[in-house]
Amino acid sequence: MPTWGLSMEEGIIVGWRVAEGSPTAAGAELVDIETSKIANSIEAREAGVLRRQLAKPGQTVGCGELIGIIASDEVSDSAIDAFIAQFPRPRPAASEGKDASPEPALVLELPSGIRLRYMIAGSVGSAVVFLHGFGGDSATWLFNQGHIAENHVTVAFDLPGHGGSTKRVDRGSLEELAGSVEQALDRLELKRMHLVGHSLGAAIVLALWERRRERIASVSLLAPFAFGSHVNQSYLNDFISAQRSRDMQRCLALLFADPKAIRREMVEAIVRYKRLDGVTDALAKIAASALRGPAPIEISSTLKTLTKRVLVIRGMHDKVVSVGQIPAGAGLQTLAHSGHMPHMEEPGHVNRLLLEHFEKADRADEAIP
Amino acid sequence: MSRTSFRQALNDALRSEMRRDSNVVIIGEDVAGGAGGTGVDDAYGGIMGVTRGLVGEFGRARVIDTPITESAIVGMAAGAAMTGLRPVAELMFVDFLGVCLDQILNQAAKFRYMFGGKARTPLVIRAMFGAGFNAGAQHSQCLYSFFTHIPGLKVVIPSSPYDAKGLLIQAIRDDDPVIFLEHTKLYDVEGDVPTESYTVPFGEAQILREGGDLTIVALARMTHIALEAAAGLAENGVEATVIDPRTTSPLDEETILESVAATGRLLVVDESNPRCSVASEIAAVIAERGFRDLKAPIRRITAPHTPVPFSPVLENAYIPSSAAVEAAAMELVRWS
Repeated sequence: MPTWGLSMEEGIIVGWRVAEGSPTAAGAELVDIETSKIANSIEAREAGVLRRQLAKPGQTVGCGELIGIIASDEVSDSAIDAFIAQFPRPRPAASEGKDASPEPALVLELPSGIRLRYMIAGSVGSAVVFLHGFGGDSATWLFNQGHIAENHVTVAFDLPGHGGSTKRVDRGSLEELAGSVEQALDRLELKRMHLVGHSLGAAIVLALWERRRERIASVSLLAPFAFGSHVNQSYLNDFISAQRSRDMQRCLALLFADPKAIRREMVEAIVRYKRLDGVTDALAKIAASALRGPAPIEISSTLKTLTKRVLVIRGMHDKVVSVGQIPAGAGLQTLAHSGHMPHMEEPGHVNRLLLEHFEKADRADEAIP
Repeated sequence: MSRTSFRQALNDALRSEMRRDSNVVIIGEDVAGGAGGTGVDDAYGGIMGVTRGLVGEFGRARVIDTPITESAIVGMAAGAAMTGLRPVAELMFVDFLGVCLDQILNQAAKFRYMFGGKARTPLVIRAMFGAGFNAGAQHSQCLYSFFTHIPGLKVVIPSSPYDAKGLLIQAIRDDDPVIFLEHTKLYDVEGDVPTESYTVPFGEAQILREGGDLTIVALARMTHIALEAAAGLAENGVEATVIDPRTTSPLDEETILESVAATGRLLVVDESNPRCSVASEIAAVIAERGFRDLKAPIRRITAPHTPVPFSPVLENAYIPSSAAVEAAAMELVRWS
């Protein structure tokens, strides 16, 4: 059972998509899981035969517990039984001492007085920095950060005006937001990093490229507000003005190819964020300044020469941000079952693309004498 | 975000609004405590400790202890509100409203209307209510239906620490008189509450649980009883939606109607006496506007039409129980 985000302690098996004893390919959807916040599919990490379904539909399973076994046909049943018998039962989080579980959310106080909250995970490999989109927060990476942190040091920020960061913004321009993130990156002393941005976050990634080019190994842009694309203005207006859960639910439905992925708790969490003093004002400023009109089409000359280091991932059913003019040479992946949130809608696929992209850039870095 | 008690959430709301707006003042019996004494100038903070620490930070000019006279508390607060202050008056027990009802019914609630919209009355009256701690017939009643009946008043009954803070901040910022009632048994309930200030809008119900078989609307402490019952029902394969209206005036009729349209069954759980109660009002609204969706009669689970008994055994029998809610729900589900 995976752990999606910080608050998940258990998940419910909705149903298996592969029958016991049937073969599965790496990346194929294996099992549907539901939490109080969201429902999603898990993809098989390895090819093989689904030898065992250890958790049945409807069953609630703690995070980190074994739910199934994929192995080749050659592995004996007794070997599988032995594996199951010795599989370590995860310790319940509550029983862990305070020292064992580090503070999950940290806060940086910037010279400007702005406080930025961030989540850090992973201790080996090159650094990866995640920047969420308009109205979101670091929890948007709940299906991604934990997985990528197995091979990378990962940091996910709450942008100014969002999540647990200072709600007050000045003009809410891209430069202002990028400036705050830049100060935070300096404070964290990351020497070289991969930047991943979603939507508004992608625009900030490109602004950071200009400012900290020498430290950026690669950029990954998900449903980017970039390259001349437009944001659906009525979505922005509805999101800013939605006060009631029901209005917010209608608004959020636009984000996903399949609106059923949204749970009431997710809507409630966003409505609770929107009720905080200063949030509506900050969002209105950011929408009016950073997201007005088309995103700049011109990209910097330095990026033009390094398009191999740019990955663009879009959902085929994106109703929020239009396709821009993706620079020639940049890798473009269009996911068939995603709307504006490919990292949540097809997380396995997105994680694979990101890891490959980071690896390629890391190898290219090593090749530089 | 931190685990916070209902009591502390109310204290946080008062403190943050007093910091934000110097017009916010607190008026009531023992809200500071120890007036005229020589001890620590902060010790008491009201009978439930909700205003503890505020006199130390804001001084006695803004945290005003009064004699034991509800009519003076509410009269003073209503007048102060007319002059531009934002008083939060504490009545201690809602049962004492009889002493000051004219100030509420004929004065505060009528100012805006009778002065042609030129008067604003940003007044909050806080009081505790409810049975369950053996305080007798004059200190245990649920009288929100009294206030809900009066045009010109807004009536708020939070059930969780999160709602308590957000609704109280909303009440203080509101330009009309707001009756804000706190169930005595909820002060020690804990929940996640943001450390920042936020408002919960009036007139939006909260869906606490979703299920397709019946709709349970429950008020204040009864939301906890309803959730307990819903958990029991789920074990028997019956899935209930539980709705907390949060404010009874304005009342979010749409959320209840939408839910009943999906489930076809309505059960209202209200600790008040039943005649002319909020439960009766909700039942009437659904009977009028949602009749075609109903698959079974509307049921109300309320206290009986008696005073709250002093005997603990009788008091327990008086308060709606989760067993009674479960039994009524099963009847509705089996109705044919």
